[in-house]
Amino acid sequence: MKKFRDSFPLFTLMKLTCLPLLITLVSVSLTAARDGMAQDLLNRPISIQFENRDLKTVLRRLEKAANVKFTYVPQVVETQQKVSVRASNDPLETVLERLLKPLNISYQVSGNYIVLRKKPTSSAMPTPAMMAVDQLISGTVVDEKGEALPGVSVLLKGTQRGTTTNSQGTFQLAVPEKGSVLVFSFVGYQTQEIAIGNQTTLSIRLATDDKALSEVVVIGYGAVKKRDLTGSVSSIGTNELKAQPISSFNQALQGRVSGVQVTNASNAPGGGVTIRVRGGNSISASNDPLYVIDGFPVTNPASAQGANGSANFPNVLSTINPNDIESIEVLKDASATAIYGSRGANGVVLVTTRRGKEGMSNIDFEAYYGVSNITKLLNLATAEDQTALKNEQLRNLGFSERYGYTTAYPKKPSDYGVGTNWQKEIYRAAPMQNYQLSASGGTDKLRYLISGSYFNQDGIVIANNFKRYTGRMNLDAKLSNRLKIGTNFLVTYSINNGINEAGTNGPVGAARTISPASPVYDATGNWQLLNVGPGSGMASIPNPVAVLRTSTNVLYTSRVLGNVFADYQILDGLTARVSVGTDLLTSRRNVFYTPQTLVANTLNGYGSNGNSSNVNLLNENTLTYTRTLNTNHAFDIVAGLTFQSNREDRTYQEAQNFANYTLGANNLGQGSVLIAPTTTVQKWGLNSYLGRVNYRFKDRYLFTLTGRIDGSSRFGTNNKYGFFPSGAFAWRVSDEPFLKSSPVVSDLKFRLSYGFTGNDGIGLYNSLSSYATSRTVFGDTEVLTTQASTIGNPDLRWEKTGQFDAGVDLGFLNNRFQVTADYYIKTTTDLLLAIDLPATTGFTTVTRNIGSLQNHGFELGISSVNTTGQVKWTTSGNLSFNRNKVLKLADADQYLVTDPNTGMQTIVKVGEPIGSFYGRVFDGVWQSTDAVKAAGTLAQTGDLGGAPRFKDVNGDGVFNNTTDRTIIGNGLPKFIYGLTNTVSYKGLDLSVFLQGVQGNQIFNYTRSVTETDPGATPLKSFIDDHWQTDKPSNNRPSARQWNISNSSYLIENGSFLRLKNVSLGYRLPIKTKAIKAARVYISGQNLLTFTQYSGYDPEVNSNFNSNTTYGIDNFAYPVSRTYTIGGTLTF
Amino acid sequence: MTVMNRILYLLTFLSGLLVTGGCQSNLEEVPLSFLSESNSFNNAADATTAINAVYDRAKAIYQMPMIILGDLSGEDLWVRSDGDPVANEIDQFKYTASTTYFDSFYTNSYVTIDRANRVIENVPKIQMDTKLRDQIVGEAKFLRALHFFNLVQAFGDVPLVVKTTTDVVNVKIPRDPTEKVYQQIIQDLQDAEKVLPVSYTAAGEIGRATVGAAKSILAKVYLTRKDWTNAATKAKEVIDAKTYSLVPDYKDVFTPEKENGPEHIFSIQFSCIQPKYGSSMASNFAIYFSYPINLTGGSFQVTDSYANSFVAGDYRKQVAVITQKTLADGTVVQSRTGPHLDKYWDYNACGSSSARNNFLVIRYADVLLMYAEALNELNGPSAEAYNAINLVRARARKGATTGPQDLTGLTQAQFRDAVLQERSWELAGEGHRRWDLLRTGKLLAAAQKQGYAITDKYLLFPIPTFERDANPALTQNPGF
Repeated sequence: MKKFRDSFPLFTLMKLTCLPLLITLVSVSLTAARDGMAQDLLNRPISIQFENRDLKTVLRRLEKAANVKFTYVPQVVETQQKVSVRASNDPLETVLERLLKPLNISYQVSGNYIVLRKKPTSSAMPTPAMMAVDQLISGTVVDEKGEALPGVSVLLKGTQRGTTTNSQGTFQLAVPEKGSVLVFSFVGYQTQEIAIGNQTTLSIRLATDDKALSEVVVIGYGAVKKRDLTGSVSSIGTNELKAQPISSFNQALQGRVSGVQVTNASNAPGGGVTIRVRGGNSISASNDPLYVIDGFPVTNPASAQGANGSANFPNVLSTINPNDIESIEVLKDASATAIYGSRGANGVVLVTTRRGKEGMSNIDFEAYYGVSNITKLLNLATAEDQTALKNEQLRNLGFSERYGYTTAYPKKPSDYGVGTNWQKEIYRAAPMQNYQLSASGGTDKLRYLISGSYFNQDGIVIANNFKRYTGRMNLDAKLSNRLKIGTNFLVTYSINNGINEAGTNGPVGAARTISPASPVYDATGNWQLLNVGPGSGMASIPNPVAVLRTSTNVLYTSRVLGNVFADYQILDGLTARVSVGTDLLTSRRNVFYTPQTLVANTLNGYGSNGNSSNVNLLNENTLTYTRTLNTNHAFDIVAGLTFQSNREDRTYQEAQNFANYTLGANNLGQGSVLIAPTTTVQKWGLNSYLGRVNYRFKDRYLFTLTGRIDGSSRFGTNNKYGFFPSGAFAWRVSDEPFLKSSPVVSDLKFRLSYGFTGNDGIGLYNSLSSYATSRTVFGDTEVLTTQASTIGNPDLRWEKTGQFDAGVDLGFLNNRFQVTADYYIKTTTDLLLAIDLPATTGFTTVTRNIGSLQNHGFELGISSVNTTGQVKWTTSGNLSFNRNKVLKLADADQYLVTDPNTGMQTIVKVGEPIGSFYGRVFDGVWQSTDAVKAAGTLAQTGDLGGAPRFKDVNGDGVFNNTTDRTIIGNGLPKFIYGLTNTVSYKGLDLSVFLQGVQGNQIFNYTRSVTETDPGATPLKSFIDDHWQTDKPSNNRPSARQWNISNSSYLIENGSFLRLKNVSLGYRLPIKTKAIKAARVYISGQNLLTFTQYSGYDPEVNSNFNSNTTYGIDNFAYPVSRTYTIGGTLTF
Repeated sequence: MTVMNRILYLLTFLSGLLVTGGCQSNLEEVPLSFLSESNSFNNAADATTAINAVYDRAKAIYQMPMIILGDLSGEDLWVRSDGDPVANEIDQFKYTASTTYFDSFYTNSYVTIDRANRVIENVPKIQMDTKLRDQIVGEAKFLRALHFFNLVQAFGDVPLVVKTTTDVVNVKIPRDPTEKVYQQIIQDLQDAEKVLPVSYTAAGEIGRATVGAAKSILAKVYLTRKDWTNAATKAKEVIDAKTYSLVPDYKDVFTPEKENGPEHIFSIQFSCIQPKYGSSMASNFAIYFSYPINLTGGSFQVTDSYANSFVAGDYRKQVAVITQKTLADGTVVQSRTGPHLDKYWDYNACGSSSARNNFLVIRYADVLLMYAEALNELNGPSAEAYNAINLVRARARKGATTGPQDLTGLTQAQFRDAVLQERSWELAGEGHRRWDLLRTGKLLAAAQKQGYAITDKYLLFPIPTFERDANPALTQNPGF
């Protein structure tokens, strides 16, 4: 070996660099993994021996041996000629090469058919005149959308005579005059038989094959037929993606895929989404799935920093144009995810973008226009209600009343009337539009897809807008029979004019809480600065209109995500692939507040500028080997070596006191108070070795073994490498002899898998000791400080999830009804937790791998074709249950987590789900001060009639705020579900999509703010229902300043059922030379929501990055109802 | 391409898979934008930033926590239960070992001590100006002593940690006897007074520890240990140095514009050049319903009995005890919850809980009163003792004839009570009362006078539960 290596100087190079194999190898494989089918067929082993027999006989024998069908026009392909051929366990492809090449016959695989053609160089196509007895039939084959289908096999039933459609989808075939039947077949479509009768011209529409078992599913580093899948993988295709007006593809997963919970944390355009695949595995590390876009595992770095009060939740995946996506696969069980090793534990979302198809050359123009509106406006207290309530509170506190009683506020509450409707001031009808132009097509040498799009969505909050420009180029080139190269390339730029989404300082929170007695403009025509005015007794809430109109908060994001790859077929069945890619993501955030906003009022202008640049490099090298030994044994093997590294640079600076506000954050140098800038640089690297063996025995017993070794810079020096194995077994019962001919059960497969995956989302540099730099003051002079900030842990490693999955796939009546059900248990150990250190060490915590938790659940997916024929009605649905339980924590068996924004506490407790709301139990209202006295220690000091009453939970006869607390709800749902019905009739199609969440609770912080003190505006229902001396209530306390925080008073039912989308499309019967197809549609999004929640919308998760507080409503950006009209033109 | 060729390529590829050494550097984690242990103490600038970090961490205690522990469990202050229910537990002697303020006080003290330990260990190894180097080590020793002094007063026996901890697994560190801790405190302060400068002049240095600060704290340590001779000696050294004097107007002791004045021996520094550098006393003591725009105001107030304890004409009451306040815009707000302490009001506060007030750790009036106390304990009320306390009383008259008169003709016991009372009038709300009462053995009586029938167990605060969970070697104080 040593000698061998010495003779290869490249090895020396490889030691030093990370892209060795590209240079050593030019390689190949399955172009797009979806092409695997044809290869699979051509790899079937053949053993035959013929001497001087006619070609027809040889072909017939090959049909039997390889289980394929040949189709050809006998007049063209002369099958009487004598041939000799000899093969011993050679792939079909080799045999065909040997057999057909000398005869100048070419072949093409189409489904299970192999179409034979005379090569063009030979004699010309025979003229119709030559076939006197036959009749020439011509026709066109199109798909359901009316688009031409090239390559469709057309066969005269009962004969070998046939042809295929050309790139325009047309064909010509000579047939005997009477009683002929033509069979049309094509991969992915239902085979159709047409009796010709007297027709000479046929128009055939092929329906997609609902059996879909032969459909190919993309898995990590490869693809398999759905029938051969051993793991739990769900997919959605273009139909689901295109049906909804969404800014980011991950929103499309909502309600469509079992086991995946999607919560829009912010409904602002381009806003953040929380996605959990089979529940959250981690307490302190990331719970987000790994996103792999065209084979590139992307990271989603935080966007650039903004000044105080500019917090919002941009979704970095909104940089991808959802319309470019062909399919999304969600890998759920360990069998599917272990190939992603230390990044697979939270599930993997594989995104495959569209590619050009051979034969078709299409230009598509797609456009839609829509208008969004807030789904509901809250019924809030009027100015009269609120000022009266303030007076009432002052009275209750024993103070003199204010409104109508003081010189500063001489107007009586009744004089204030309805006041300002702040909701109407900030919400609007918001247009959105999307345009996309794409060109795609290809020959057998080159396939291409080039697209450009423009997306522009206004938020329903004024001044809020999201724009995106994307360009995509996907190319596949076949340089030789063995070498293919290709690229996936995305360029995108987006501009997100965001709003502050943090509580009452943000416009949504401010408009919800600011007094209606406060005008938009003050008497001098300037923006009203203070809520109602100085000394009004109202809470300090900024004027939301002033904030929106006078401040800027823009995030510019650009991304270049691309890779190039080469597939080289080394030997028959053995293919190598090398790919090199990069993801360049930069974002810049400009924030500026003029003094007309409360935050910058005393600062005389306040601006900031943050930059973030993320460079991710990837090199992947894989070998795939496919071999069928005989009919009993088949192997698919993948092995690979990958390198990924990432560097993130962030800078941030801010300035105050501006002479001129026009340039804002574009020129921070205009500020006279410059705050010291901050910059950070972070890097991580991942070296991985992966492998997978798929083995099929008798095509019924399927085995998969997967393993990956990940070496990661994030792990401590004592644990640099982790190994993540998984194994799976599936049994296709329906292929057993006893079930094969069953008229009822058309598909039955049992799946079992177990394996380990990791979670490396444990932060960077956490294994190291670090010193931090910050500043302090002496006098009024700022000085630098340097202090130890963390203590190292060289044992730090990934969190480890072991997952068991048992599933069944069942199809009835030729797969008209299909059911997929899965049960899983995931146990995550080595949870990263901050372990308390005694303060005497100088540190309070150290991060260690301690603790474990479990998720187990059940998932059900169904699909059914309810009617076929003219009216085609299909239903698909999914239902997912997940239960989460903490098994082990570090020091104590429970600890409390306080949400930093709302003060709500949740508990992490052994035996309970993560993040249950923990607090006092609201038990009505003390009806009188006498009742308080009578209750003695069951009441709190200071309680009076009208005070909220809380339960003595521990039953010790004393109510105590700290000990009488218990679990009062949980933000995690009992189950989630989605249901889609589609009906099509001729050119019309209607789709109705319902989605829901059941059994979760919401902590409604908005009521905490507005029902504690009348300084913030409560709901009208509080006005009507609060306790008053002459109008007692047991539901809402009196207007005073009662402490209702951290109590079940604020917990509400979060269940909802939503009519998420209804869309109606019509395929226009236009067929001109220029226009191939045209479709128009109208759609409505978020049309109806059934819920008991009192806030804007129950789909809420304000602290969306937290694993321990789920379901808090901290004045979340409300959901909108959107109507869109759109169309597609294909040229 | 021949089959052999293909096989060669395949072998090359497989070999590539085996070359594991290819990208080892990809897995090394080298910090790029923060410092690590190895490169934090290289030069004089590093020494300065490291000592700055000790001062910075001291701010965690020397704000409300010191007042909550030092004043609330005394008799002058109280806190409304709606404002800070946890502090209210301390005020009313209802606290337990889980009461959070103990843990934060304990934790922050030790983190500050750890930072000081790092300076004391590492700075002497730096090649730099030796005078500056010794001074910085002296500052660290001063701050370490100050925090251990707080810890022993609050908790009694505590772990004496004077070295940086590196082992995070074996963290069972037992408590050391108070006596041993005091020896270290005295040693550190004696080391410090030898190397600390008399004063600082450069911006960015004013506010650092001085020789006066070391001597004054040392005086207080001796006083606490009833080492009257040494206490008197150290106090006298501070007085005789004439570095410090009483500011003529008592009000100016607290005015943010007059911070680091002639009376301020050692203050923890806060500023409003940015809100994050401000202190939180102003908002916590602000008159109810008024601060600064519309917030609910502070919940820390003086007791009625304290407000009524002043003799007529005491200017200090006029300055510090209020029931109404004129806001910046001229509005007059009334307290609705009784008298407030007005030492920390800041018209130019920079945030709802951020103002310019320094925390006054020790000031000259305190030294005068300590001197009087020590002399009285040594020899009874001497002329020098009267002189010291009467200087403080004279300022409280502010030139008027009414108000506290010069003391004369008291017995030793009467003089002792007079000093304790004077300290209350002069220093209330500055984090001293509990320690004064403990030192003089009057804590239980003072609490009982307020209606809290408490026992000996309340002479020490409990060792925080949280710490005992993390460090099983810690024993609990009796009764908790």
